Amino acid sequence: MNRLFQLADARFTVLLLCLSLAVVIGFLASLSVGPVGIGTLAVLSSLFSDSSDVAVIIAQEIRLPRALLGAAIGATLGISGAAMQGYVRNPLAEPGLIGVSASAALGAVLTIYFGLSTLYIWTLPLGGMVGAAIGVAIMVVIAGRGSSTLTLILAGVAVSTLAGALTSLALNLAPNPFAAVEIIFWLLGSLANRSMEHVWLAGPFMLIGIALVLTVGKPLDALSLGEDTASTLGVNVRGVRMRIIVGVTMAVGAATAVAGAIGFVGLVVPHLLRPLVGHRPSLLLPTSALGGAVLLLFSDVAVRLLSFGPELKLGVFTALVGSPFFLWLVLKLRHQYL
Amino acid sequence: MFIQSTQRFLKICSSFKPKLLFAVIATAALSVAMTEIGMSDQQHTEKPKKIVSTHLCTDQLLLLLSDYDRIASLSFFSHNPSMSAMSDTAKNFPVNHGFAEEIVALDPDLILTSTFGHLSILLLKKLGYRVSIIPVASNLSDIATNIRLVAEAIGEEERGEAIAVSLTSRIDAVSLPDVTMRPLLAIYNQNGFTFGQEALITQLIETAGFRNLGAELGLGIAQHLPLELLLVHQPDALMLGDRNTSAALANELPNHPSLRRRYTDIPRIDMQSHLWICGTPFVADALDYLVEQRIRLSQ
Repeated sequence: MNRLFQLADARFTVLLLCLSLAVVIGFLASLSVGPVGIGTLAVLSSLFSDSSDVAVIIAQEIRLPRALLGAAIGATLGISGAAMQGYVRNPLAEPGLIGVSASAALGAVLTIYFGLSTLYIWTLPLGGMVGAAIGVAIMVVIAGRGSSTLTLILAGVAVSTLAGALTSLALNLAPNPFAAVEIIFWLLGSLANRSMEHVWLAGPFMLIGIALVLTVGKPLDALSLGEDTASTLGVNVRGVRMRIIVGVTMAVGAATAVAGAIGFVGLVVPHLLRPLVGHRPSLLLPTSALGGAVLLLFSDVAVRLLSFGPELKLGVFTALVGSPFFLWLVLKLRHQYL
Repeated sequence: MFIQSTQRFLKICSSFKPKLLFAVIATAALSVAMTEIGMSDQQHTEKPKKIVSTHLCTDQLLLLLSDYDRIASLSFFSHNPSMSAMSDTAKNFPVNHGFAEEIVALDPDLILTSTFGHLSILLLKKLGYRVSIIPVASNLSDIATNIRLVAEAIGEEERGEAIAVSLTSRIDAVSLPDVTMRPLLAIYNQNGFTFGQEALITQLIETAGFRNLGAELGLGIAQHLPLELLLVHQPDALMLGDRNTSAALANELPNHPSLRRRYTDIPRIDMQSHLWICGTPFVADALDYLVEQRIRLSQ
């Protein structure tokens, strides 16, 4: 038995290394791709230059924040999906699907369009987090009562739709001639034209949130045996729930406030990696964070490579990748749940 | 700030219901009335007495050419000072939103609109209303043509001719000091949109002795200009869009740190967009302003 775990741990280490390498490659690819052709080496040397050359400005002010946000938001979505799926022991829990992202977007939209964020810039991530908190709370209330997958998903669809509709309504009613363009941004998400200000604004909250969620790994292992068993093993179930709620709320709220609601990353990534880590949530959490970063970085590169003229929205691409996967998941689960 | 916004939000919400109710009643009443009477063809020989415009650009041409007592309604954009050069005058007239029902309720003798019209125009034509569709001006000579078209439609040919001739002579009078140097101008509006080929503003910019980056990159009307391309092409002057007063993500982009860092000392041309959005005689003012900026740049 002990040897088996050692073997699993060795495999886990290799997996972490591979994923970390993929993150680095994705990060470099994200830095290298854009409408202006600058080589990877030139971009890298530009990052550490203090001249005001065009290439330096493009590397430092446009490409770097985009790559940093891609990695951080991808990690946020991946680990949030893994933690929520582990906690509610339901493979469909994910920030995008159950309305957490959409509620966070609504919170951010309200601070922007009622002028709060122009007065106090920090109200933007705060608004996103308040929105996310409401979304997570609804999820926990519904999932915490031992309800079925169907209830969770239907409630998720209702929350997503309502939050999306309210976001569109706020934009429609605001004296804003750009409503159509911005509804698309908030519903689909994008990393285009973000700046270092967005990194400083959202980055710390995402890091704290991710760190908080990482601490629930071991308790989640115990929780996979059921709440009662976990309690007898000495797991503080309420404490775990609280850490997941606060962590996911902070990370997803801040991520959505600067990049809109990006769907499907949190759903797909844990499912792809779960078989590789032997269905152990404590191993799934860090691997999902890395996997999410990889997926979002490469999606964001693909979006830029595929774009001719107006840029393809990131959320469109992740949905294109995610929806067929989701369909397959539903077909597979049909025999288990319905 | 927040309270004001909330109040405005509530006001908009509360104002919605009666309008909706009115619209429903009006539709019902009008559909009955129309099937009974049948819409007769208008007499085109008489000067129209009740004119409705549903497009920002025809709004302004109508205000310039017509007696005010013949104007029944203008488009709701006409009251917006950043879009309409005649918003102050336009505020004396009721607005429409281009809905067929609103316009039918006014029972106009003539409807002026442009090619970016609504579906409602098709409906209004079908109902037998007289509709004049004035094409969007994409170059300077189109403006005089459009002035004459509107003037003819409303029976004010003499006024139209006078305004068209004076506009043409103002445009022809533009003279440039030095045509060997043609500075590169980049338009960068909210959400990163620029104007290129076939846009009226491009001809204005070129007539004033600049080159337009959007046109040189082969972009069309209102297309997205990637921030990186804007930085790489190093324009000699930037024309940023009117700062919109309402909060929106759109205003973030022209303030991106990369622009601030690169172009701290680049000349910025703050042209009021209401002067050039539409092909009206006000483009002559826009042209004068651009020539002034061009001369300032060469000094």
